[in-house]
Amino acid sequence: MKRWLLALSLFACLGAFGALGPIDSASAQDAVEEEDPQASRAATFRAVSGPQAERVPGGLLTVIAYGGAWVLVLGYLWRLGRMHAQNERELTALKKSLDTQAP
Amino acid sequence: MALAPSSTPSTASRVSPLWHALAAITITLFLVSFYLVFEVAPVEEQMGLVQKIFYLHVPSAYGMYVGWTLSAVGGLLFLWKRSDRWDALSVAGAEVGTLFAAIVLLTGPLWGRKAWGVYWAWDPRITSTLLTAMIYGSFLALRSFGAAGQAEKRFAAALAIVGFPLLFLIKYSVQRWSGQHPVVLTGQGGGIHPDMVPALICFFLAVTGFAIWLLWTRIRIERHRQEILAIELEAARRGLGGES
Repeated sequence: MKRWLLALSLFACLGAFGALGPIDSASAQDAVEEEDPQASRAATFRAVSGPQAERVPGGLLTVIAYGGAWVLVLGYLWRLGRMHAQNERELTALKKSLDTQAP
Repeated sequence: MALAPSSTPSTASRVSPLWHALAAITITLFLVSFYLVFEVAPVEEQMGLVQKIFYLHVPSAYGMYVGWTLSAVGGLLFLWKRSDRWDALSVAGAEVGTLFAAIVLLTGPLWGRKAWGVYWAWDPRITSTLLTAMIYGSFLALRSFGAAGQAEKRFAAALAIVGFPLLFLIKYSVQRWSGQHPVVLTGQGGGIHPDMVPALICFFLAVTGFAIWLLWTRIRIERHRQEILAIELEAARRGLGGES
C-alpha cells in the first residue's frame, strides 16, 4: 500500500510540474514581448499568429517612384541634348568641308 | 548652301518662341501638380502615402498611349507616303511612348509592393504593357544602329504598326480577363475622392504638355539629322565634303 501511495504521489508531482511548465514558458514569452523589439528580434524567432502582417514603407516607395521617374526623364533629356550637340558638330564640320571645297 | 534641301539645318535649328512657352507652361504645371499631390490631395484611407504614386502612374500611362499611337500613325504614313517627316514622327513617338512606359513599369511595381505584397504580378494588363514595351523597345533597338536605310525604316514602321493593336489589349484586358490591376477610374471602379481630382487633372495637363514638348523636340532633332544626312549624300554624289 505504501508503495502505491509513493508511486501516486510521485506521479502527482510530475503532473504538477508538467502543468506548471507551459505557464512558465508563457510568462517567459510575455517577458520577451515587453522588452525592446530590436533586442527581441535578435534573441528569438517567433511564428506569426493569425494572417501574416508586414509593414511596407509607403513613403519610401513613393519617394523611389517619383525620384526614379525624374531620373528617367532627366536621362532622356540628357540624351536629346547629346543628339542635338552631335547634329551641331556634324553641321559645323560639313559647312567647313563644303566651304573649303566648293568653287 | 546650294546643296541644302527645302530647308537648311541652320534654319531648322532656330527654335520657335512657342517651344519655349510650352516648356515654361509644362514646368509650371508640374510644380503645381506636385503641390496639389503632396499638399492638397488627402492621404488615402487604406493605401496611405503610396497611393500618391497613382497621380504619376496614370498620366504616364496616358503619355505612353499618346507616344505609341503617334509612332504607329507615323509608321503607317511613312509606308504610304515614303516621306522622312513621317519617319521622324514614328521615331519620336516610339521614344516618348517608351519613356512613359518605363515610368509606368517602374511606378506600378512599387505601388504593387504595398498593395499586393509583391513587386510583380502576371496580371493581364501588366503583362500586355510589358509585351508592348518590348515591341517598341525592339523598334528603338533597330533604329539605334546608326543611320537607318530605307529597309530599316520600313521594318521599324511595320513594328510600330504591329504594336498598335496591343494598346487596345492593355486598355481592355482588365475588363476582359479581370486580373488584379485597379480599375478605379473606369466604369467598374468607385472613383476617387473629390479632393484628389484637381491633382490628377493637373498632372494629366502637365504630362500632356511634356509629351507634346518632347515629341516636338525629338522630331526637330530627327529632321535636322535627316537634312544633314541628305546634304552629306548630295555632297558625296558631287564629289565634295569627303572629310565628313
